[in-house]
Amino acid sequence: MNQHAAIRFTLNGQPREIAAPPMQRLLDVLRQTCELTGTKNGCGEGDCGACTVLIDGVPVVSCLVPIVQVEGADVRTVESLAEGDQPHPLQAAFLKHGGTQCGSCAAGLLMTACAHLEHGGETDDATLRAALAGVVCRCAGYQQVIASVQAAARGGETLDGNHL
Amino acid sequence: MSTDQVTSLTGVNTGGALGTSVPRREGAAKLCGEARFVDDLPRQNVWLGGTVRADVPHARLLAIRFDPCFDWSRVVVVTAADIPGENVVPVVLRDQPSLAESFVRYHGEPVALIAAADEETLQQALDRVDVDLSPLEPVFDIDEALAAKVPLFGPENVFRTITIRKGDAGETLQTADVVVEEVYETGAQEHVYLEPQGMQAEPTASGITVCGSMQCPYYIVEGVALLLGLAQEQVRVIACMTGGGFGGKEDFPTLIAGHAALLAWKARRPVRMIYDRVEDLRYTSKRHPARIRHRSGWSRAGRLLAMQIEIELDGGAYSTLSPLVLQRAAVHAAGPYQCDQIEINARAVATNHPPRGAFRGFGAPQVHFALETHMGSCAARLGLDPVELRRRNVIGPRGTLATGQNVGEDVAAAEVFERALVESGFLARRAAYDDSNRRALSAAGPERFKRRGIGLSLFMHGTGMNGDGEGLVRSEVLLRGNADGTVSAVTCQVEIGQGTQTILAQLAADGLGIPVEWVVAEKPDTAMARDSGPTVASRTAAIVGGLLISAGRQFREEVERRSGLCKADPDAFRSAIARLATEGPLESRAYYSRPPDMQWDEATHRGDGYLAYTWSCCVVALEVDTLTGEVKVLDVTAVQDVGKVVHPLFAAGQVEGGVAQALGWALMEETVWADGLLRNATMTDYVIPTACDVPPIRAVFLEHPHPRLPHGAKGLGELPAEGPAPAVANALRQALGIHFNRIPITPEIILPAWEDRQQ
Repeated sequence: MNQHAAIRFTLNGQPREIAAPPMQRLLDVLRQTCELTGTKNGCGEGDCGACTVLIDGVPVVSCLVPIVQVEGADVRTVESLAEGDQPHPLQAAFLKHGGTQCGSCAAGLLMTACAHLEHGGETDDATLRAALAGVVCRCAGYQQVIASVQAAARGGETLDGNHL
Repeated sequence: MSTDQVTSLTGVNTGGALGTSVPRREGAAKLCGEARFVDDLPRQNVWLGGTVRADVPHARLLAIRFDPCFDWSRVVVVTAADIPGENVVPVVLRDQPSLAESFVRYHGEPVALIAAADEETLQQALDRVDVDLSPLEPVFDIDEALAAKVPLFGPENVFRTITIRKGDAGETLQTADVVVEEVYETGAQEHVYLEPQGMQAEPTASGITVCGSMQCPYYIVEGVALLLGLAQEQVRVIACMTGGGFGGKEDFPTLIAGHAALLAWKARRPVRMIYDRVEDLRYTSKRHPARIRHRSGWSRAGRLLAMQIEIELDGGAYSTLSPLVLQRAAVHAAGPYQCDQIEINARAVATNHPPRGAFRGFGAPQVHFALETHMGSCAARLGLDPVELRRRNVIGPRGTLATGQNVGEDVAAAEVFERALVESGFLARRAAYDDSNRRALSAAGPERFKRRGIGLSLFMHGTGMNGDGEGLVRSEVLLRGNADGTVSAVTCQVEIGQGTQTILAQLAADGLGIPVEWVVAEKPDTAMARDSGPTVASRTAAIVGGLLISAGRQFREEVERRSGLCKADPDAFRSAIARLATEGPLESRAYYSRPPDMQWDEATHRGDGYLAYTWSCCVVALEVDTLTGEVKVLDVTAVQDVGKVVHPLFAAGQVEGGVAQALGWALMEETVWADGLLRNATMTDYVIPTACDVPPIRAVFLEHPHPRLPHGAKGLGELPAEGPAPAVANALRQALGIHFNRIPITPEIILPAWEDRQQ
């Protein structure tokens, strides 16, 4: 467990090589080693979805992924969404339509929604609710989350630069 | 400027700040992953803290044994003997120790603390501690606790007793045409804020700094100062971005902050304590389980003549906020009805469960569940339509509540009720469901097993703290002009997701008469902000927001007086602020004081229980699969008078989130206790609503500004969580013909009840 292994993967578009115990959780590597704290630890058991990241474009709970498993993979976190001052359409829509309140589940919802839209998923209410059901939000009651994703899918969500 | 500009209360154009959905202040930081919660702070040189806990619910504490084979010089250990000040978690009654000293009163009670440089060392050390306990008989049941054979608190195991009397209910009940008596029970509920409890403390040259996840920075100042034997001025508390609270971060953080502070104080270095989810679920507070008995007397025509209400709350092992939760429960227990003979007897009872604490609604959801479910039973007994029964008894202008409080003209109970009937299409849908339920009997396929129902509840919520509470806190806010012409709003209200930073900026801007973008809502830091009171009780927008408006008006007058400007255009006004702020301090403070017309007697519970009330009616439509017992909520309509909507998007978000949380309490969220320990202490086993469980929710707002508040806003955070549970019970009554008087109503409860009914 304490023996470090060299793990190579792509993180938010950049090649990375990390020396870590192979069974260390991807969540901890992201938060501690890589200092990307946007991904949150909600339950540590894969139930709340707050720590969801994309591995090769698929949403996965990073608390259940040993770092050795991402060798050679493409990992994307919430920090990858905005490009400089330009928010991702989902971020802009979440801000405008109330998709985040306390912010603890935001990364999980955004990354799950991002994968859903990138894969051309339907954006009707029922499909989106099923797609997002793996990430729990205790603040918002989901309606404004769904509205945010739908607005992002429609496109045209822009914000003044000073919002980000 | 856009066409939706509004004119503020000061008569100055504010560019549409109040009543418009301006961008969430910290929203972008949250959505980019840049917002810093306590566990996101840099970890370099920070030790991690953990808790040694008792593993029985009631015991004499004999000794704490440290394995001599472990090198204890690698870690820092704190027990009660190391506490430099007073071993207490000060909330109301000061009965709870920070660390158990001679007795343990709940399973998981903290006994010792350990800090280490890394998680592995910490875990090793925690595993090498044995707590020597001599078990005592535990008490978990309210009746057993009241029998007082096992002493837990005072002579009767009662934290507080409250009696409210209006007229003589006992006498009237003897002569009433119909008397309906029933008992209602509600379960404990876990907050499940997505960010678990967490604190970090660091000794400084002059004292100690504590930062973390919290709702009430000044509670922690008091707690840490007492524990370390410091003056309050030596304790600085900074609220980090806080990932949800719902009351769970009102009282509990005082305990964990004290623990982090004790470790940091002894270690002379920063120490961070973060609970994992299991620890958080097991050992932090829950909504008080309640048992409520209603005896109500009616005329045959459906006039409510008398109410006798007994309330018992299971407060757990220590009193925490139970005395105040009980008070809100008692004052709200008779609901928004006109009744002249009322007797309410309420007790908060000590047991060996982990201490209960604040949870959104603060005792009111329990009593509203009881009363509004009871109204359904009474209508059935009287043979009257529950809609008509409420119409005949709803409180009207100048009516009086249980405490004798005259509601004056501020009473929208009837209006929210009638509006909710219309908005939800209640009567037509009820008739349609009766038809479809009849047709189901002869239907084929899945429809044969479907039953539908629609139910409602009518309720109110008092603004801010009860009676004298707000007057005692005497909240203070500060507005300070900055050299760039912006104005800082300095309070200690915490952003926990509800939009505090945004809303307080809007309200300050309204008072100041400047664009909202020119107001900086400063982060809560007790080195900068005096006590503006806790972030609780739906009081932030109402009470603190009202103070910011007053401070803003004073500030504007001051600037106008000193600069000679009058009704200046915003840019000239901003320039004047910048100039004056450069010359010297440019500040305005406002303090809360009780309105002179507000009378309250804490001893008799007579008078104005609250400054103002919000009124609401909630309608729930649902479908039950009688083959599986599963309930699918179809939709919810919530109509509420909140005085003034400050931010429409956030207001709708509060209603939607509150309704979702309450639907969980009503239908899903069951806490399973064995020997005083929560057995379903994971998110696999304690299930909260997902996006698939929460139906479309329609929030409709009425705005009747209250004259006691400068902006009229009466608060909103708790209200929406108080109506859905009884509306669910009433909808199930139509769907299944079964009266459920306890929640949660899970499929495991529904199925046997349905099968019984078929026989």
